[in-house]
Amino acid sequence: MTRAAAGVEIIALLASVSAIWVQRVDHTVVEETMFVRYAPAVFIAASVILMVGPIRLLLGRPAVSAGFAAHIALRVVLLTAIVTATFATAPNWAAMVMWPFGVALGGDAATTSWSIGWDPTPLRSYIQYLRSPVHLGIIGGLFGVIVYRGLGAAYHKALPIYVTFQVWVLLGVLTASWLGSLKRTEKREQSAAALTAANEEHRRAAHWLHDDICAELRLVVLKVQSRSIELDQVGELLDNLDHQLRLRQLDELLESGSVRLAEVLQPYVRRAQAHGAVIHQVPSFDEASLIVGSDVGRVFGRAAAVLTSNALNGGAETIGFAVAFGPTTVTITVTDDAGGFASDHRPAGRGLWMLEHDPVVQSLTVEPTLDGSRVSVTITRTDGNLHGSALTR
Amino acid sequence: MAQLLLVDDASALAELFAQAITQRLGHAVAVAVSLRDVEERLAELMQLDLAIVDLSFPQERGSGLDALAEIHAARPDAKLAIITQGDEWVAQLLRDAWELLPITTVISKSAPLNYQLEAIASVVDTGEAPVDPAIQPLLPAHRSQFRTRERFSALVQHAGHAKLWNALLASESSPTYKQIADYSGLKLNTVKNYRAQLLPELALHGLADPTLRQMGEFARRCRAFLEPVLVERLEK
Repeated sequence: MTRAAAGVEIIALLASVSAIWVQRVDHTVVEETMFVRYAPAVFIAASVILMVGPIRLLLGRPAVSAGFAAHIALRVVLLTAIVTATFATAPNWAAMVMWPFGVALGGDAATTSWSIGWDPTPLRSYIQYLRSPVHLGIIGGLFGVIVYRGLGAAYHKALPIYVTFQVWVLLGVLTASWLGSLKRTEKREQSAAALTAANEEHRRAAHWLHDDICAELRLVVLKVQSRSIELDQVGELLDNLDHQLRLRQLDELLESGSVRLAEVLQPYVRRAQAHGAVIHQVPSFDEASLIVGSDVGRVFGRAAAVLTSNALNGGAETIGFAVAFGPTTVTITVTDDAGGFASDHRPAGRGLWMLEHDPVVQSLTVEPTLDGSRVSVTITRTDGNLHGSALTR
Repeated sequence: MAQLLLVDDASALAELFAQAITQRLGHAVAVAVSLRDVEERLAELMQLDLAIVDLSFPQERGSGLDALAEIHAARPDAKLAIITQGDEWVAQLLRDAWELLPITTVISKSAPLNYQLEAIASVVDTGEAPVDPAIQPLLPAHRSQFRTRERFSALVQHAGHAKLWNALLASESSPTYKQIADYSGLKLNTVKNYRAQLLPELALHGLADPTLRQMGEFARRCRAFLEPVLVERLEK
């Protein structure tokens, strides 16, 4: 909606620029001073500067930050220049052709108030303005002109300025009200969509709890009741369930669009620990704080799963995890003391083979160590647009 | 025999864990199952050697960091340890506690019981124990020397800053400048200026050009360190 409001402001400003240009070309002002000659140029320049903000909004770029006071001061200068240039180029009732500028004012007011988190009520403010001493003073001034300078002077000089201002303000109010109502509708629709998604998620979670967790727990209970299981095996089953829950937790994180490498690694470190392996190396937050997109996170998780499982299945008693990242790659290295394996023999369809053939896996290397192996998987980062990255301190 | 205090809202788990510590290590363990209980337990205990505190208290206004700060203030000689699931939800809280308090170790709730007991025994005997490997990736390799409790006074240089922080503490999840200005009684422009003034100091706390929402989250997380400074500045 903010982009739509920015679009309305740009179109209205372009229409105002066209109107003042037509006015300049078609009508010759009798008393053409230097300012009158260059007034359209002043108007166009001020309009172009006013258009910078909405154009950036339209392109999805962040607003130029120059401080709130500087922002207000610039607006006052630009609006003063535009108003003066308008009445210099299109004096008297001719100024009415500049009505699109009122629409631009409405668009600008809407985007500015939204950016500071204010939901304006333009019609109420307009009615308050009409009743305000300022407006009543202006009306009094108009009567003063009629009384002292005559009806003709008021009709040709003061009244056109007053009416033009009123048209601008009224159009601005109507535009801001219209955009405001669209914004509120959009907000309501977004809230409804979010609510639907949340309800759907609740139902999905309930189904998963019933199907996966309760069924697994029921199995353990039945085995215990039938005395067909030892206590150690109960512990093992519950450890497996714990791991499944952690993988599910990781899935939820990945579904959120991005994930920190430390979070992806954690379930596999815990799994190795639960299997009795001593963890002799893990990355610190400085090394594992990189935030990656879901796709990279999933491949990283798969690599961690395959390498940890291989080490545990090989009988590793000591396992080390290391993580490194560069601008375009992420590398996970798992070191174990499982005695090593034939690094050139990777059966098709098995974990290492599948990892090696994954399109985003850049390289997979296996190095023998004194008592085991060191396996590294380097993944290409396909999430270059992610702002999130390593910690800053 | 050492005297331990275990602070964890999972009461059944806390009781079992306390029982295991007593049976296997021979230490006395007092249990607090809510943040409100901590003050009471501290008053009851003549001696306290080690406090083991969970970080997440979703049903309460505060967090384990508040409990750790309270215990440290009341018993500066007692050693502090954290027991946590160590997921992303508490990761920032964990880093804050790690850098702002003398935490001796962090124990993973899902680590094998023997591993957890070894860590506790090591802290009681030697004053330290390695952080659980599953938690280590959530902690920085080195504690930042610039991040101290004393440094919080630089985040509240005068009463105006105190009003801003009070408004952020009371704010909802994503406050706007206007809402903060309305709540604090400051002008909109003043709110923006105060935020800009605090940016260099916030960077030392790991907040690079934070939004008002991030500042609010930081204020709520570190309430235990921020609030005393706010009170002091507003009283002046």
